[in-house]
Amino acid sequence: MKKHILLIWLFCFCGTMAICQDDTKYTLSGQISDRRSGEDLIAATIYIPELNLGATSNVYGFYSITIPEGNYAVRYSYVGFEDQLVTVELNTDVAKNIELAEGGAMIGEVVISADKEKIDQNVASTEMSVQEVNIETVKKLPALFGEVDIIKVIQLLPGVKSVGEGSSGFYVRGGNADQNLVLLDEAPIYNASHVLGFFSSFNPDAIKDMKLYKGAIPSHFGGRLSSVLDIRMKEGNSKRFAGSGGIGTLMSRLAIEAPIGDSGSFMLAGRRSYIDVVGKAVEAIRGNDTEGENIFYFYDLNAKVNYRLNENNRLFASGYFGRDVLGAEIDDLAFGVEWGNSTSTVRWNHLFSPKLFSNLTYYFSNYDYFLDFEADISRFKWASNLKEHSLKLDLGAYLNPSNTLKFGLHTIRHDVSPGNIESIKSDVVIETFNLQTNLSYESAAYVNNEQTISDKLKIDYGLRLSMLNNVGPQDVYGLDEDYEVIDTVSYKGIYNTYWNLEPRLAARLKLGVSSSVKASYNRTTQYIQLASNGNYATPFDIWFSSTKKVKPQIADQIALGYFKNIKDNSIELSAEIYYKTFKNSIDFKDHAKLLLNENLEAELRIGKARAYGLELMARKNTGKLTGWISYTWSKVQKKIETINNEDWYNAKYDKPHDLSIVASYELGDRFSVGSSFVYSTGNAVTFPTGKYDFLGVSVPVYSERNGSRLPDYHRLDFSLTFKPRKNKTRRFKSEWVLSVYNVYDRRNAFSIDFKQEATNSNVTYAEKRSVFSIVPSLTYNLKF
Amino acid sequence: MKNILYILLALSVSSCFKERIELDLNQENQKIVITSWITDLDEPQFVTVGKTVNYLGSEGKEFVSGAIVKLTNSTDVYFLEEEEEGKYFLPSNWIAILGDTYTLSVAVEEVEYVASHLMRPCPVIEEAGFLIYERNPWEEEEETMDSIYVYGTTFGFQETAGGDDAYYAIDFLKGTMAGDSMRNGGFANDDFVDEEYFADIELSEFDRLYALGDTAIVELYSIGDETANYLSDIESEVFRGSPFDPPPANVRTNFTGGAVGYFIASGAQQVEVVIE
Repeated sequence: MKKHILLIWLFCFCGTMAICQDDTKYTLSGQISDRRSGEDLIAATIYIPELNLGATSNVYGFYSITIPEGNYAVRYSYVGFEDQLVTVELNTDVAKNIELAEGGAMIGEVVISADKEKIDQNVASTEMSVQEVNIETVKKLPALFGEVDIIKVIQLLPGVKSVGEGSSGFYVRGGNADQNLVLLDEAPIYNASHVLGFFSSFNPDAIKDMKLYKGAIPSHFGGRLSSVLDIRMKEGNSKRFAGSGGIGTLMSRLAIEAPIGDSGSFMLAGRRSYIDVVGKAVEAIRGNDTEGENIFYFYDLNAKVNYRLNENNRLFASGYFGRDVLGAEIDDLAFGVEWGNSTSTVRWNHLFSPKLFSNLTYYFSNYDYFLDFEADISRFKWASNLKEHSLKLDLGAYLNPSNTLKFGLHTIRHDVSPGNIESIKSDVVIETFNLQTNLSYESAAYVNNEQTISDKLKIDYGLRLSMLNNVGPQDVYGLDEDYEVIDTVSYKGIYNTYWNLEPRLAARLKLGVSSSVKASYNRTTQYIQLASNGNYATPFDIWFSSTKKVKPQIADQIALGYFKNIKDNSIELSAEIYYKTFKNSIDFKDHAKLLLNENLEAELRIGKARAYGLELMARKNTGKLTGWISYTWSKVQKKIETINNEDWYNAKYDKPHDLSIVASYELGDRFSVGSSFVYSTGNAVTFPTGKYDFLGVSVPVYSERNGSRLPDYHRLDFSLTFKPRKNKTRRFKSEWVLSVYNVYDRRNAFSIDFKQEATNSNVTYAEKRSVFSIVPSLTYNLKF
Repeated sequence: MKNILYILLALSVSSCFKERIELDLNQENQKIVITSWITDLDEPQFVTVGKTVNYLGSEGKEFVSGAIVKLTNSTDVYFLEEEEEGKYFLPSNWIAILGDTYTLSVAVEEVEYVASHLMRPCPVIEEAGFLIYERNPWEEEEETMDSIYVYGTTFGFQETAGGDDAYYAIDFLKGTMAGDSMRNGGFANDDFVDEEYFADIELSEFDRLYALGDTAIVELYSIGDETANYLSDIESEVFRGSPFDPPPANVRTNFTGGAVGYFIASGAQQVEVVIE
C-alpha cells in the first residue's frame, strides 16, 4: 500500500521537477474569455502555425504554452467565435489575456485566419468517447413541454440510452444510472431530476458548458464506473448587467448576472414549476372539482460568484438548491413528500507560475427526502439523507508543448443516513426507528501526463490510486453462504479498507490532416452505489457504500475509434467500438426487501457484467444547418448469483439498436426550426410464460429475466423559434418557441402489465401503458 | 392567444394511456403446480395438483389426476383421496395437531415433490364487532338524498410472543365464496410489533361493506413469516403496474423437485359477526 502511494508521489515530484527545466524557452499564458460576457472559454485553442504547436484552455479558461524565444503569430480560436491572430514577442514569459468575439463581430487588430489550418479537436485530441453539446444547441432543439433539458439531449448521443418515456435517467455503455458521476461545478448531484424523472435538475439559463465522458475518463475523475457528466455553471457576465428567462407551459425561469467591480461577477438563476396550478386549470376546463389542498411543484436555484483577487488568484463560490414538493389530502389522510439536492462549492484558482496552475475545491453535497403521513391524530414521519463533504486539489503543470502533467489529491466523506422514522400520536412521539448511519471516506491521488510523441502520435497516460475506508461506530452483520445472519460485530474507527489502482491510457495516431485513429483503456472503481430495485429509480432509493461484504465495483473498458473531419472541418465523423467488463457487479435477489432494511447486504447478489458495442456519429457544428446523426449497436448482459439460474441475462437498458437524428436550421434572422427523431429497440423486460391459480389470483410464472422486449420505440419532435423584428434594434430580446413532442402521436409503450379480468379470473390479458400522446407547447424566452 | 393557451394546456396534460393489446408470449414447458392450505378449522382439507397454463387468454386450470399425495407429521401418515379431478382430500376424521410440522409429499409421473410447514397455534379473535360508515347518496348514484349507512367488521387479538410470526386475516359475507379469494384478505408479520395487542383491526374493503342483517365471517390464520413472504411475492407480482415495481420474478415455493405453488399448514380462528 505504502509502495503505491510512494509511486504516485514520485510521479508528481518528477512532474514538478520538470517544470524547472527548459530555461531557454519562455511561457505564453493567460485567460481566454468571451468578449461580450466575460465568461471563461473552456477548451479554446491556441495555435502557433510557425511551430505547428498548440494548446487548449482548461475549464477555467487558463492556457499555457512554453516555446523557444522569438516572435510568433498566435491564433486563438473557439467554435462559434471569430479567430484572433495576435503577434507575440516572446523574449520573456508573457501573460496574454484574450477576449474572443462571437461569430460575425470584427475586432480591431483581429485577423480572420484560414480555417484549413485550424486545429480540430475531434481529430487532433487524444480524447475519445467524449461528447460535448453546446448549451445554445440544446436550446434550439424541441423539448418535452417546451422545457429545455440538457439530459434529454445527452440521451440523443451515441452510447447513451434512456429507459422510459420522458425519463431524465441515462445509461452509458452498459452502466447503470448510478454509475454516472453527475457534477455541477464539481459537486455531485445525487438525484439529477424533478417530478420523478421527467425534468432534469439543470436550468439551461444557468449552465455554461457540459461534457460527457463515456470512456477514456481522465484520471482526475473517479468514483463511478461508466461516465462523468461535467456541468459548469456560468460565472456571470463581467461586462454588464444581463438576464435571461422564459415562461413555459409548466414552469418559468429567470437568470440575472452582473459584474462585481472590475474583478468579478455573479449569476443568480431560479426556476419554479406550476404543475399544480396547470393541473387545477385543466380540471376546471374539464368541469371537475378543483377543491382540496393538493400541491405539487418543484423549484431550483443556482448561484455563483467569482472574484479575481489578483493576476494569480481567483475565487469562485457556487451553489445549487433544488426541491420537489408534493402534498395531498384525501379524506382524513394527509401526506407530504419532499426531496431535493443542495450543493455548495468553493474554489480557489492559484497560479504558482505561468506553468503551474492549481485549483483547490471544497464542496458539500446533500440529498435528502422526507415523507409525512397524517391520519386523524396519528402521524408518521420518515427522513433520510446523504451528505458529502469533499476537498480536492488539482494541479496542472504545462511543462513544455509536448507534456502537460496533471496531478492531485481528493478526499470525500460520505455520510449516509438511510432512514429515521417517527411515529407520533396526539403530538407525542410514541416510537422511533433509526437505521444505522453509514460513514465512509473515499480518497484518491492521481497523476496524468498528456504527451506529444510526434506530429502523428500523442498519448495520454495516467494512474489513479483510490481508497475507501469504512468508519464506525457500526454494527456489521456476518452472513453465511445462504445470506443468513450468523453474528453481529460492533466496530469503532476504521474497520475496513479497500484500495485500487486505476490505470487510464489514451492514444491518438494521426493518419493525415483530417483523420486519426484513437485507442483507450481505462479502469474505474465505484465505492458508493444506489440500492434501487425498481425498473425506474425513485427519489426514495438509498445510496450505500461498499462494505466488508459488498466489494467495490470495478469496470475495465477498451475502445478503438476512427475520426475524420470533412468539408473544411465543418462535419465531424467518428466510429468507435468498445468492450467493457464489470467486476463485483450487484443486483438484488428476487423479491428483495429494501425498505427499512438494516441488513441490505443480505438482499444483494454479486456477479459480473459485460457490455460491447459500435457507435457511429456524423455531426455538423457550423453553418445554417447544424445537428448530428448517431447510431449505436450495443449489448449489455449480467450474470449474478441466484438470479436467472445464474445464466447471462439482458440488463433492462439493453437496447441493441439506437438511432438519433438531430437537426436545427436557421431560416433567416427571425425563424429557426429544430427537429429530432429517435428510434430504438424496446427495453428488455420479463414477461410471464405461464400461470397458476392461488386463492383466486393468477400467479405468473417466468422463465428468463429480461428475455422479452417492449415494442420498438420511435418518436419525432419538432420546434419552431420565432424572433420578433424589433429584437434587432433593442437590448431586450425575446423569442417564441413552439415545440411539438411526439409529432405523429406514437403511443410508445412505457410498460406492459398483465391483468386478470374482474369478472372471469381465468382470463388474463396484456395492457400497454403509454405516457404521452402528441404534446404541443409554447414557450416565451427573453434576454437582456 | 388565450384560447390557444387553453388548448395547449389541456393537450399537454392529457397523458398516460392504457390499452389492451395482443401479445405473443414465449411458452415454456409446463410445470407441476401444488397448492394446499390446511388448517384446524372444521371444514374439508385438501391439496390441489395441476399444471401451469399459458399466461394469456382464457385457458382455465389444468388438473393432474392419479398423483400419490401423502401428509405426514411427527406421529402419523395420511394418504389423500382424489375426490374431484386434481383435488386430493384428507380423511374427514383427520385432526390437526398444533405446533407440529407437517410434510406434504406429492408424486406425479415418478417425480416426488415435497414441502413442509409448521402448524402454528392461532391467537384468539377478540372484540369482534362492526363499524358504521356513512356514505353520501350522490356517490352511490341513488335517487334518495338520505344518507346511506354501511358496515365493516373489526376485531382484535393478542400477538404471540417471539419472532417469525405472521398472520393472514379475511372477512366475508357468510354463505359466499369471497373467503376463498386472496384479494379480500390481508397479511402482516410481527416485525416491530412483537407481543403487542392489536385492537380495532378493520378488514372490510369499501367495495364490499355489509348491510344491516348480514352475517360476516372473520377468520385469522397464523401463517408464519416465510408464508407471509410468499403472499407478499404474489401481491407484488399480481398487483403490478407502478413504474417503480421491482423486476418481475417467480414467487417462492416451498416444494422441492421443481414444482411451483405452496403448502401452508396453519392454526386458524373463525368468528361470526351479525350486523344488527
